[in-house]
Amino acid sequence: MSTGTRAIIYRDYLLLTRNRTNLLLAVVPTAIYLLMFATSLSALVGTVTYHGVAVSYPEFAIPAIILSSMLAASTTTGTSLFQEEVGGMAVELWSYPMSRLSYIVGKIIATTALVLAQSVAALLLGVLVFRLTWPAENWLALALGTLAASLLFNAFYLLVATFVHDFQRFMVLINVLGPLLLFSSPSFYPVEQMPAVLQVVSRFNPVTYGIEAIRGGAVFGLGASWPLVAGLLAAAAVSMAAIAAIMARRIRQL
Amino acid sequence: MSAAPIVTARSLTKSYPGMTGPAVDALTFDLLEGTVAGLLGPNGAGKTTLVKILCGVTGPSGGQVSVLGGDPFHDATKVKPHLAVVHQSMPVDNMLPAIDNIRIAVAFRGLRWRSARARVEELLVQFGLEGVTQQLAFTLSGGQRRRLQLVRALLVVPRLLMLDEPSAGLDVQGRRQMWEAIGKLTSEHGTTVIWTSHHLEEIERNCGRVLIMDHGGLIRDDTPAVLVREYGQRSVRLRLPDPADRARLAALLPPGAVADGDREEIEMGADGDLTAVIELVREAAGRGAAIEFRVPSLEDAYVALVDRRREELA
Repeated sequence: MSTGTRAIIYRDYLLLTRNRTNLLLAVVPTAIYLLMFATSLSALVGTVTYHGVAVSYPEFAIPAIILSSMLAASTTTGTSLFQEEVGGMAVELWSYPMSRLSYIVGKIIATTALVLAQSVAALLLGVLVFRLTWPAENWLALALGTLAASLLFNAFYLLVATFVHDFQRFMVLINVLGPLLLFSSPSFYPVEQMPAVLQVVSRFNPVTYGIEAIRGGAVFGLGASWPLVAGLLAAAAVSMAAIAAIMARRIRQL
Repeated sequence: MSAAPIVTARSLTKSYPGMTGPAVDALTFDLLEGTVAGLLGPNGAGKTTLVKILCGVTGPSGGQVSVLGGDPFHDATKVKPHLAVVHQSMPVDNMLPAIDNIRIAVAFRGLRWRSARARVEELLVQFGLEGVTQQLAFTLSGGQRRRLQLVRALLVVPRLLMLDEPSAGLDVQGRRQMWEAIGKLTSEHGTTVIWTSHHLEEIERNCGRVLIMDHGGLIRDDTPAVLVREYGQRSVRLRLPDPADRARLAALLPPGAVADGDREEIEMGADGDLTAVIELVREAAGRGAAIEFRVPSLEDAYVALVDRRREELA
């Protein structure tokens, strides 16, 4: 790992941990959503048929809640790009010996670490409250799916941020984009239950593949989820390369 | 043996979308290693943009730039380890304590905190920040934040140090501490310095060369002594409270030599023979007359040069 990447991760870690409110905001909403959403709806829905297998609703919904938190956390990567520019820190950061790729990788790893922390909190709660009993291999598959999806969605939001030059426009866009992506994918309901139009839309929605990688891993194990995990990682790598190229143009305007 | 150029700029140009003209316009200059160069110019002249190009924060729109033999924008990891910058905009992470801002700079320099700590403590004492390290950066005064920037920049011994209005917000002690630190760097390590400031006495005192910019272009590149000799006018300031003495003075001088003969304080050029004027003041001393000779400064020369340039453009 390059010095620049390590320094970016360290800075983001300090920015997050030196303010306890940030830490609470990162973990508490996920836990609350999990408790409220999964408990109420699990009583209502009971079990869900997922790729021909009956699973309890908490088992079905927990990956979606992880992904929902992931989308929310991923916006911070893009937001920080604007904050650094407006606050003048971008000029300071780019004065250090750091390549664009180091910066991008550092930002994405820092937010992915946050997402993983949120996911661990959600899963611990899931184990305690809903008595999840997935085999060890499935836990590993779930972790890999979460990691790959987090890398992709962080890269995705950073890519959106590099395209948009106006902070207000970016905020409007991500506030609309998040729910749209989440609810036009088989997140809280099986794809068969979605309207025909949304079923078509969901095929072009990256969240569909993220949720399938996490949920498929949790329910069926690594054997079923690894192609999706590999696809997400490849898409994340392509996105990062695109960001590095586009960011060169953006930095020229500093 | 002559020193090698550490900075080379050829037709260096930088334009931003939405601006009527280029921020930096076809600049060509070399800077030899070990030089302490002042970069002067009115607000909006392009100084900060030039600093940002030289430290590789942004890339040029046209022309070539070489810093330490490389392109600072594209060869960031090769060139930037040898550079340090104090930016004009005072960028700090406001929601972090001062010490964390320094820790982050240490991380970006690829240093271990344990090995950098002695240097950090030395700089904190040197700049009087040892008592505020745990304070959030936004609670520091402007001068303290500027000192914090200086500590970050001086963590390493750079080959090229860029100071963009480093004394803005600093008190007199802070400025002297900074001069001392920069002087030590240049004398002990031969660090090259590019120093922008609106305090021209600071430039005159510390810089051996001055580049003056206006409207993005380089209008003069010379030593302070040459600029002062060429553009600075020696002058005398007279105090003549008695109107009769002012009338005698007006009779001694060619028409138009004194701009406003009705004022008690009179400033005039000191290039001609002033024997008669001095004699007049001596005679009128009992009536409150006085004379003060003024040696021209870089500031006088700079103002004259920029004003002349603007008159030519108009």
